Amino acid sequence: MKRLLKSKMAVSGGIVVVLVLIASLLAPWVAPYSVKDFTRDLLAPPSVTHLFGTDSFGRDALSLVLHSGLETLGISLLTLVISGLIGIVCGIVSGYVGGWTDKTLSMAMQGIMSFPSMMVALLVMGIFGTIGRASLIGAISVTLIPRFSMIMRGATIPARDAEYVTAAQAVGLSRWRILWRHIVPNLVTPMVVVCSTYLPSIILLEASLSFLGFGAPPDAPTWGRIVSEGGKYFRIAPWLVMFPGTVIAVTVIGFNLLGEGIRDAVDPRIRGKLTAKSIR
Amino acid sequence: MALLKYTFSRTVRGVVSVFVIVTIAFFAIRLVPGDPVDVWLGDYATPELIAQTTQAWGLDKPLVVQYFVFLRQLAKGDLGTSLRANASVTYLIGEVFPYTVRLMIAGAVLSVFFGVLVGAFAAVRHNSFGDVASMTACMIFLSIPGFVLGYLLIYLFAVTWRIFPVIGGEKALSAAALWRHLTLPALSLGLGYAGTIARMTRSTMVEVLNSDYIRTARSKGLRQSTIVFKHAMRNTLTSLVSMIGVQIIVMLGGLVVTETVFSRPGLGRLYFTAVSARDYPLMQGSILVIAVCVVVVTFLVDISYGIIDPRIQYT
Repeated sequence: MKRLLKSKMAVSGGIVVVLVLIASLLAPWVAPYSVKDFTRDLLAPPSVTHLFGTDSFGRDALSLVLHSGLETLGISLLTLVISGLIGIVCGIVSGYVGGWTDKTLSMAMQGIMSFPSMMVALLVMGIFGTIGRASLIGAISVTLIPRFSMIMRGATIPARDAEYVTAAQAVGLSRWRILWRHIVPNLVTPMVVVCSTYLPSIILLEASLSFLGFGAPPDAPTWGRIVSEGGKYFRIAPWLVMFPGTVIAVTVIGFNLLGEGIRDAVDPRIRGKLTAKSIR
Repeated sequence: MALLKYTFSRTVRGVVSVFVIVTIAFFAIRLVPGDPVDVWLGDYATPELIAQTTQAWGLDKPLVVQYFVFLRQLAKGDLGTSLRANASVTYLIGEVFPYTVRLMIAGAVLSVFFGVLVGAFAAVRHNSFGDVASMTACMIFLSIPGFVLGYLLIYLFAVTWRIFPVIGGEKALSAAALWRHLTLPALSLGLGYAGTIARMTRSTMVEVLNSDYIRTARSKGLRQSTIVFKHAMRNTLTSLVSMIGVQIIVMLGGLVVTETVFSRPGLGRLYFTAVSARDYPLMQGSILVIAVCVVVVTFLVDISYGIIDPRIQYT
């Protein structure tokens, strides 16, 4: 934690993340207008009254972005939790049990990973429906689970083969006890690292899918959806794309910096190995 | 000879993996509830019309029969008929494929060129202002969603300065016009990945530049450019090639968004329309072509190892 606070990168990333989170959580109070304030100022350029301009319904774009922050980040975080849990469990099982279970799981995971995430996510949404939070979260999770799983598998195997585990087996501890008491504690660090690495990718993939009009329903738009709506009027009202787009980019930069800071603080040896795996 | 044998065994493996992917996709698409006929007919659905359409699309037959019909057609190079466009899938894909190939090659070349160049620059100037500045730029590029970058490029270079055309493919145009149409989409597709490649190049090259043989080269009095481009670059590239290969495959996914933003015809957009419309045959065909692309790129990357590093043997 101390090392984390010393890193300028992590601190600045953390500040951005906290600000975005607070702004999204407090949207009903900090947003200057409600999303139901339809005015006659259609597609008005940014001004003092409307910092981000107004959209095609005359709604304040800044308020729209603020109000949809919770939806966007909520979906991303929920996806992280769901895919993280499933992936981490799969990885630990794969690494700890070994044998055929491991071979089958690894093959399936590598198969999914060899395909571009976007294409896999689209296929999943094509099968389970293109509208709805559940299928959006499911689609992103399918692309993320193998990544979590393979990294956790890689971390589990050396822990499983460690001498103290052999010793624990010799003493006659049960498999579950060995797993829970002796192996899992070793995996906390890689878990944290892996989660912080992939969160930005989740946000970007979610943004791309909602930009394409998939995922969250139109009445509860996420940032990607707002950009996509703004894109229709891009020639006459570019601010409708630029401001929400910048908000997405800044949020992703914040999470990236924070994640990198965490990675360096926890284990300088993994540096460079994980950063390479940015997915989109 | 070894290369020929290697190519053959890789081709067999590639065909098998494409076959497995297509089979999984075939059943996955069909096993899940929700009927494309209902989606297609919408409010006009009457029992007779549903039965008629189901029969016309061959969806009334058992799944296994449908699968074998599909395989038999596939063997003839026929991917079926699109449910929506009422044209053969092979034709639809064939029509847009050249656009995608051009965009992919341009995007890949751009991202590798800029990525390796900026990465090498940052590594040589390790911890200097230039290093920090270029790495910050990379962080920004890899954090901007592809569609925002696309719109930004359009706004700057097509709307404000009018240097490049805004949208569209490059049908029946001269070579110069073709390049002009390709530049912005290729930049929008490639720059994000250039950021990732630059960061990887930097971290690998910093390691290489600290190794003993570079110190030897320096003590021999070789010029900095010789050291960087002849000695360090080659060893950096060997460890980079696989990562670059992964990035190019990931870039295939970026096609969907780029082609949509620039309203370009292409495989990504075709796949996207197929998914939105639940057009089974078109989805199936696109997945097949994407799978082949993935296999081919992986193969090319593996081959290029041997070219960059002669110590590697093909087995």
